[in-house]
Amino acid sequence: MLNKRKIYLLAVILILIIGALLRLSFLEKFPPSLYWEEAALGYDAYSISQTGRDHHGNSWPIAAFKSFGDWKPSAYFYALAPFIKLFGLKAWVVRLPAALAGILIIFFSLNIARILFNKKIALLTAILVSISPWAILFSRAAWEVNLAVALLYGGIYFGLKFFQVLVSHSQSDQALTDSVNRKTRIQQKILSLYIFHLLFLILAMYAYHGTRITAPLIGLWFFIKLIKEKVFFKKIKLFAPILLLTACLALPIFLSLSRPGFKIRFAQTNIFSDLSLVEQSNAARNLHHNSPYSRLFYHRYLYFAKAISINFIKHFNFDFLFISGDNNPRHSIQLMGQLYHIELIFFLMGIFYLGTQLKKIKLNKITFLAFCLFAAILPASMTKTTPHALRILPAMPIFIMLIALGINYAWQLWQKFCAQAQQKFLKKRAILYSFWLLLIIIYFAEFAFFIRTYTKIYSHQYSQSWQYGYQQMIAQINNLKKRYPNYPIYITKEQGRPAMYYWFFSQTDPKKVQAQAKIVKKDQGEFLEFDNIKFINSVGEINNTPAIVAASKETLIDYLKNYSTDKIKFSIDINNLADQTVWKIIVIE
Amino acid sequence: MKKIINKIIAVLKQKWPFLLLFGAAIFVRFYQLGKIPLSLYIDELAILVDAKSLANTGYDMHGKPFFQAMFLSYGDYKLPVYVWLAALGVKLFGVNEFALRLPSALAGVGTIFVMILLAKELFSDTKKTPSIVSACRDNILKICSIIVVGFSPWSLLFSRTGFEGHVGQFFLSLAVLLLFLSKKNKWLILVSPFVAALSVYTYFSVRFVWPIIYLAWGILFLFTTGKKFKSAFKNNNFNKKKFAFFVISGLIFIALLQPMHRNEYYSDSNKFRLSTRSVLNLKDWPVEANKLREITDNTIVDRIFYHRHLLLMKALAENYTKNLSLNFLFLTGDSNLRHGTQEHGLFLWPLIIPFLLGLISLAKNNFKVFSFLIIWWLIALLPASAPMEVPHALRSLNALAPIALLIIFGLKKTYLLSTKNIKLKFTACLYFLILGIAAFSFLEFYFIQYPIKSALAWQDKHKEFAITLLNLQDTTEYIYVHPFSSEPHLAFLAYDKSLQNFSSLEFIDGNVNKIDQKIEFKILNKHEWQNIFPFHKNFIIAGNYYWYLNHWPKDATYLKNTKFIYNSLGDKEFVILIYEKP
Repeated sequence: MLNKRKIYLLAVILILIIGALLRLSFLEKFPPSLYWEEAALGYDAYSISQTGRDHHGNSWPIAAFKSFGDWKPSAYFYALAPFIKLFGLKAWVVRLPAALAGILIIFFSLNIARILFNKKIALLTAILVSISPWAILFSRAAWEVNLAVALLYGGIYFGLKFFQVLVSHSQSDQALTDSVNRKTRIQQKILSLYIFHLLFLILAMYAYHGTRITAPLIGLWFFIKLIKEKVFFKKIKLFAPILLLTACLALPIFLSLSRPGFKIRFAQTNIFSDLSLVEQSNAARNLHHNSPYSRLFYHRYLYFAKAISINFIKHFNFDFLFISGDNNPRHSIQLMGQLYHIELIFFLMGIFYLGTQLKKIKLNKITFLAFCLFAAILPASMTKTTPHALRILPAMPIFIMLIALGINYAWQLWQKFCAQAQQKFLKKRAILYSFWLLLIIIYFAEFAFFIRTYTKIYSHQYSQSWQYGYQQMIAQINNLKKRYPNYPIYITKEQGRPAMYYWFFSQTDPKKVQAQAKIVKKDQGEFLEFDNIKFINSVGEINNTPAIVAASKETLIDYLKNYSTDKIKFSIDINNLADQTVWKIIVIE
Repeated sequence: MKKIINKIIAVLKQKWPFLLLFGAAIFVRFYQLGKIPLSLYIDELAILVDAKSLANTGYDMHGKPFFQAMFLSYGDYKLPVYVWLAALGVKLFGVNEFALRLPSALAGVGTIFVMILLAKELFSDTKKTPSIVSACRDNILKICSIIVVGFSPWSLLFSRTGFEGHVGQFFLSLAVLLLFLSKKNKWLILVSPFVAALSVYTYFSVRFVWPIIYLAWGILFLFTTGKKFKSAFKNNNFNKKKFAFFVISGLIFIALLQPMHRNEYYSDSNKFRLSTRSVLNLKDWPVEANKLREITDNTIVDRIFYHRHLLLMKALAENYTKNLSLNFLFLTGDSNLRHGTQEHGLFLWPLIIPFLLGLISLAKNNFKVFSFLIIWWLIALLPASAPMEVPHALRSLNALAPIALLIIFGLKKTYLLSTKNIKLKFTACLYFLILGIAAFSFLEFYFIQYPIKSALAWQDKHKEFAITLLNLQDTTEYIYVHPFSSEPHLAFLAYDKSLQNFSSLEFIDGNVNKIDQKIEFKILNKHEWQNIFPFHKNFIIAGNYYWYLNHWPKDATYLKNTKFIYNSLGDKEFVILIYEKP
């Protein structure tokens, strides 16, 4: 016979398999092509795995890779490098670490919900995460943030587990007189859990910009709790060295923050560089002739605080979460929100449930959830484009946990309703359990809608957002290169970052790239030429023929007016999935 | 410390803080009424013109008698109640902005009253015998009502401007109040449809809102008893009399709407309303649906998934939820400067905490009242969600009462929670201090910064322009005015003191081209010069500065004088060119 424990284990395995299937199948096809960040991640990981240097020639970068000059956090590169070594440089391999991180997110949110609530909520949370559009979308492309979330939730899980073991141990050891041997074993276990907790949080800081704020905040929460539980100072000899060592591990990140390239990127995205707020504050103060009153009430910090609050609240907008999603087509499939429609009801019920249970459930758990939500959304609130589904991905499992609580609450209400009902037919078990049947039917319909839209409509309509056409274009260019080896090649930058795609899809030897890194012209970190290929802003920069040219159809047709038709030897169009021509390749004699 | 806090609480239990706050709420509604916001917007001007005509002659500007269900106005079909009230104001105080905005300000004060009474009906603990404790609680409830409604940017802004929506919302909540008071005197059920109809005749969208509220009230309060949904139909206490009252009252309401439905302008006005940009005509939905179905394989499933009704529902839901956004309610408000300051939400920002607390605790304590308020709120938003300008503070005004009531409950709850221990008392004092500061800083902003910031949105200086030209008309033979807004004649009709009777005017599609035989509205450009110049000895050309800069010849021959009218930012807004031949 199956006992409860076995059923639970079976359910967990089943959920993980469903999650894995949804994340790992057809990785190279959905989304339809590699976005430029993915190409950059892939090629630099390839470069590292082959030569130990990135494509600029920097040896084993620690905190960040220069990439296009935007200094990408390093964790994804290193997570990817072994897979590249194993399977080669392919589109699905580049996405593999994110997909695996997606499975880890299911696992960790399951265990967190289990520690905070119970097994039922844990299973509900896990199954909802595994089929959630939000989680699936970000697991199926090489998003650094997905890796960061997996690591962050690993950190939270080990932190919670640490306190669970600590509390149960400190309660039991007064009753039982343990042997010294057992005591040290438990102490070792507790310590290793704490070390894992810190390690995962620090790794999360290496994976994504936003988690550099979120992870320390969460670490701080646990640290304060550690002090409050009066454990820290008792065992200061054990904890202090661990903390110091891990702090050292985070040091390279803080050192890298002062880098000018990083500062520029920071200034581009955050609201503190938004001068209009300062101007508003100044205008209001001028109107009051700069009186002390106005200097206080129209202070720029107040304007910043308000802007942050507005951005923060925007992430709870119902149309963002449940109806239309992020405006950026890479972050949502546009025809639906980040979460399923029906979940709006359960989300509200979940919040209501927690609100009414303030006395029954330990306050600690609710404030912890609220704090995690706050820490996850805060970094995104300080940036300009909000609401942003990618930047608040760390909040996704918590949203889903709330939804799971809501479903559980609805179930409790339904049970109560059936039990109190006077009509006989409501007393039947079939009626009672029809709740779950109905729920499954609704979820199945929603899920079917999501999968249908994602596989059919989304990849068709938004292949352009994923830079579709580069792979086909580079293949053509390489063919032509063999036929006309001496012709210079011109590729325009209209679709962005052509050099990276060229290396990626030609599997160019990284050593060749590194060798040219110091010689060729660059724009920030982006190569403007490589071998006899020039990456130009527009066709106007073509200065010698014969040549092989790849550009958008419109500009190329415009350009070809200068040439008679017999000079053009070869011409081919490359279309995206919506049958729009994205590239035209020609050979001019 | 403890002593001070206890003293504050003791003061709150007395009568005078309530009176003081109430006085302040009335004061901020009447102080400089008509002067802030600086001037009248087109819709207000149109009402003023009709009110002036009604007050003088008993007929509207088109010569129709005053007792009609719809006024043509400038072609936008206005409902009558606000026009009548404004006419009364004009009769008493003359043709000015104060007279026009007075009905709205009075409705604002009335709203506070209604809110106090509604809050008492809905939230006070009836179980407990009247004692000092419950009396003091009622006092707290009153104070909370005034804080929430009296000083909310939403209520205050619309109390000081002549929009029909605000008066409509007052009548609507009054009608709801009558329903609840009918518990003691059931004849009031029969009075409420009259007030509700009055509300419909003030603001159109109440027509959709009232029936749902009425039904919800009937189901939740009239036919069920106690806090739980125990149906009155079942427990043998079903009251035939109650049912008869309910049905009769509904029928009265329907009967009262007939004059509007039978009005000659009714179908035209519906067309006019539907022609505005809304989700209904945003996209060609069948085409959109076909496009998506073509991409997929057009199976039965796809035909359901990408059905045009579902796509339309999604667009509607998107608009709908924008009205529910917490940012809109507490931080940003309407982006239209006539409907908000752009700096404040609909309610003061610290009230976000009592709002959330009120939602949760009311759902827990009294689910019936909770669901009634939620239904009221959600149905009030529906008419505001179809047009594309969302979130919209004016169109969603009918939701003011339910949201305010939720906040009032939460604020009272905040106060009650805080009495538990000294730490909480201190936090609550701090909170109310912050609330006070927020209210003060809002009022300061509204009376000092907002008038200047919003001057252009309120079409400031149109009045000055019209009056200047009207004064100049004796000095010249003819005046040509380039249309400077969609309805340029309104300002002239409203402020022309010699023109008390509009029967001499010729209206074409609700518009007037010529006033006093001397002032003509004409689209002027460089070619028109030939048609004007030879026919008059001396004449005046006037228009806005932008037109002058781009479309009018700067030929200085015979130009005797140029006058500019500057707007509040110090830029040139209007230009008056005086030509004179020797």
